[in-house]
Amino acid sequence: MTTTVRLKVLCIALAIVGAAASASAEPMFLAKQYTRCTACHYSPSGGGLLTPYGRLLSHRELSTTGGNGAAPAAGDEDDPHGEQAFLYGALGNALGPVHLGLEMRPSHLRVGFPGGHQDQNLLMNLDLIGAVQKNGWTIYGTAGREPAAHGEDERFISYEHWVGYQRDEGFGIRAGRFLPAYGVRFSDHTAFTRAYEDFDHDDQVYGVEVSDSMGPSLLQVTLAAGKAEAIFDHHNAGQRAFSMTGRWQLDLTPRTALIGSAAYRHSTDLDPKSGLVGAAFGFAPTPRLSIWTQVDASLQTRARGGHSWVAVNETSFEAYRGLWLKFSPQLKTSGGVPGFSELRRLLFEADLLPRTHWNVGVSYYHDHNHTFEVDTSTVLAQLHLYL
Amino acid sequence: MTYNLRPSLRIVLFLSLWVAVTSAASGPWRVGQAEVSVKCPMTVGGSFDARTSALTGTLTASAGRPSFEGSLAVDLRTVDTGIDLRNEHLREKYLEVDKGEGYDQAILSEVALQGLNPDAPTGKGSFTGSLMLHGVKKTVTGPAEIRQAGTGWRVRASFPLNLPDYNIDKPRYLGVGVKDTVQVTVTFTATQP
Repeated sequence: MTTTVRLKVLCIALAIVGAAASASAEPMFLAKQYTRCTACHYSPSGGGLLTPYGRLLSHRELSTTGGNGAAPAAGDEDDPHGEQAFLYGALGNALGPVHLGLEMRPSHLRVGFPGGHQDQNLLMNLDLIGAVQKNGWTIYGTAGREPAAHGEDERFISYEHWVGYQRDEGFGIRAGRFLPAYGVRFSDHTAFTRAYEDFDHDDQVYGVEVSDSMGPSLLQVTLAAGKAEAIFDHHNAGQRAFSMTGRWQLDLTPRTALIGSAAYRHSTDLDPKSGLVGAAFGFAPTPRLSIWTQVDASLQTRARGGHSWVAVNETSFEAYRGLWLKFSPQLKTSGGVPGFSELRRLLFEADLLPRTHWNVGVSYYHDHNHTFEVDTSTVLAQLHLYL
Repeated sequence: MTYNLRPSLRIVLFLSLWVAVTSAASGPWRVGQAEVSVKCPMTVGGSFDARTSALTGTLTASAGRPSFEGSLAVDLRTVDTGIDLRNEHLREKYLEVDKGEGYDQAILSEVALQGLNPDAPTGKGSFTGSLMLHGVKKTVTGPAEIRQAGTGWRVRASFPLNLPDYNIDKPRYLGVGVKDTVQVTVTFTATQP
């Protein structure tokens, strides 16, 4: 392999894996009869700060050692304390209706490529997340630092900040900066359906989302002025473009869900207009096993790779209480356009959730660039602190 | 190739089947294998199932009427939602299974079929019944489907259940709750002793 190709492979691998990960959404909890993100997260599109219910669930039902932990009495509306509260409840009720979370993710990364490897220690996340929820209204925001990448310095970033209103009858609206709802939000932001479809960790938009939950179905439509990073940053001004996404989820049973999604992005100075359409299906045949599969057709102009397919399967199995094993084959076709690669990935992951506030994840990625016949392997070890 | 049965043989087969069906339907029926599933829609969207297989009871067709004597009882202490804390809250806070006599069971009685022949109730129709739950007795109604399964019957019936009608508190916990109306589906096989 030439030095140029080797460097390309390394850069791509680092860009994919080394970037900051947003707080995880966990579609694997379909196995516990949770089909909707909003059961545990403030954000309708998942990820980020856990609600008091989500924290409690993490403590009592998901962590290895929390099964007999204390819990607020039945009927309590909002009483976070103890292990499921911010900083183990050290602040008591001093914050009033404000809920906070501090997320850190110190990690070790090893990228192996033909002829060598590279190791890197990094702090993938350092974000303070806050939310206030009252009478159907939610104010939500994050503040943290974006890790240095591509030779740039670390910088302050607020990945999400939005105001939302949710009616009991199901209608909801939010406006601000957020990741639009599309398909399944896999916790791994490098999943092909996220990284290659512009739903990565920093692909939030400034826009308005309207949603309606009608019985077993949920419809979410987002209209956006463009990617958030292009709105206020004049360096990225050329990437401003209207975008629209639509997502429809049908819960066939409490452990089976079908999702249809579509997205459209207008052309920018750098990219031609593009579109996506896809479907996802998730089912959990047992309370310890969930299987999600998403297939998307990328309807892009030839200049951006032509029509291609992206498919991701994620199979998660709870081998022991709080120990989840994941297997994820992924594919991205090249579209038959020279210069665009067909990529194949096998991901093996172990997630250990011993306590509410910390968990450990070890992932092994085997990536194969079928076009150039290049293999890379990546090991990522993360300590996820969620205080 | 064609198959031709002699008319006399056809009559014998028909009579045998009719006798078997009607005689079977007229006796007492005991619940065998069963599953009760309660679909609980959540206030934040989505739903979960609360399940139990602890359904017992006997039903006997009333002569000449589309109704059944006897009752079906569900042991509420066995209802499982898949999450321990939710089970604890469901049983102790909302169903109050320890509150007093009868609170640990849901009992369906005075069952009557509509659109089905009580002597040979195969097919789709509807039912009504009286459900005793949480100290309150109310009429419930919904679709029912009965099929012959071996020497017995396989029954599937469902009905909506409005929790406030039974003086059950609105299930709410840390901002997440269950909507007022849940959907109950009962499936069981019934055989004659």
